[in-house]
Amino acid sequence: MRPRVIVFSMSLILAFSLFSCALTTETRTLDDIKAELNCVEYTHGMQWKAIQEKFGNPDVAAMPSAGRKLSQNARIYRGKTVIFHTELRRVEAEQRVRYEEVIIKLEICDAK
Amino acid sequence: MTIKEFIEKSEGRAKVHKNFIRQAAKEISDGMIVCIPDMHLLDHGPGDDFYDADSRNIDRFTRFLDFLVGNRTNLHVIQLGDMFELWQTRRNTNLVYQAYPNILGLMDNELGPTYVVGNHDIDIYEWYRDQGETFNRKWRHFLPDNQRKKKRAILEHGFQADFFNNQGNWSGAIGRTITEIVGYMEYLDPDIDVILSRAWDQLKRGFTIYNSGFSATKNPDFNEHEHFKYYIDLMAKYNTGETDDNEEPTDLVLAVIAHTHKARLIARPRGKRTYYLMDCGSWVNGGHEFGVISGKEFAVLEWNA
Repeated sequence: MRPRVIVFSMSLILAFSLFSCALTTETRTLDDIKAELNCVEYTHGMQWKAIQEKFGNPDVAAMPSAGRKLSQNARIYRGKTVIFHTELRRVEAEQRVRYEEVIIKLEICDAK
Repeated sequence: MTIKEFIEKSEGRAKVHKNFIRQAAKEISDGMIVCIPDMHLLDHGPGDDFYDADSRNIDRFTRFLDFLVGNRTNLHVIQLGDMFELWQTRRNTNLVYQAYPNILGLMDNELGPTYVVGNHDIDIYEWYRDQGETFNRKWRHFLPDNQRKKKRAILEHGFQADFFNNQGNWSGAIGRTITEIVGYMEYLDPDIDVILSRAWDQLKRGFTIYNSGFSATKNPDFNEHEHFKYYIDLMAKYNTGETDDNEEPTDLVLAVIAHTHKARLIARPRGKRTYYLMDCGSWVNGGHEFGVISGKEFAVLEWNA
């Protein structure tokens, strides 16, 4: 049998397998996904307490790095869902109109 | 703006594709209409036939859009469907916007085109329809836009005439499944769709030769895209007012479609009218054609820059 025929047949079998796997994943809308989550929307300057009340104590309270202020800290939660909301922003580049995606909202969520 | 002025303004970048330029007996559009055919935007991956593993294809289309944006006060854009390749993204436009923010931003926000739905992006028309959402997609569009004038041209994607792509019947479901499988095969060989298309063309050619020997019809043809007859019949039906969605008889003579990825402009007389079918080509696998209509004139052009 010609090598191209063998490669083509194997490709076909593999494609059918991939296709079957792909059918098991369902596309859902944001509303569908958020129905299973508790989310808090991040806004700059929001109180830390709001996060702590929603998600409890953080999994890691990182030590301040050298050169940073002791009052500026980072707290880490593991296993949370982060949702980035994006939209297109108009920019001018070399006298041409261009568009790029920017983040307009951020939500951190826990399973219900 | 006339077609000649459009070409002149492009400074040699736009030219008539082959000899595909014709003139109808009466006006078809009030102004310059630019028809952008299939784009099949995907994700810059192996299955993305717009990108086709060559960033020059994206650059060329961007320069084309820049030209249209610069002349937008003198023209209106109609995207003829299959702007998105949603058969390979499970109905979802999200990652296409991630891959093509600039092109989609220019299309949506700067040009504000009329969007006609294609078979590969029909999901954004069909999936939400029970919620009353079609994202401004139309099944078909007519020219001229002026409601007081008789309709002269019908514009739609073209899958409606196609046995294996009409999403309204069972044969379309088979065609879609085959295409989805071929889409996954592109991860193994990005040109598998082109290879299979060539094989299909060979098969059709065989049928054509076979028909020549046995059919009583002069110049018989075996063609999976029976577009011209379909659209002449459809336009004739509209012209006699026999359709459900149109009260007054129209004066249609031109059908503008995409879908086949093969540009053509053909004419055929029937009754008192000469009917035209203009297939505007595509922007996939290196294609760079588009249709233009201005007054009585219409043409398939190509963008070379």
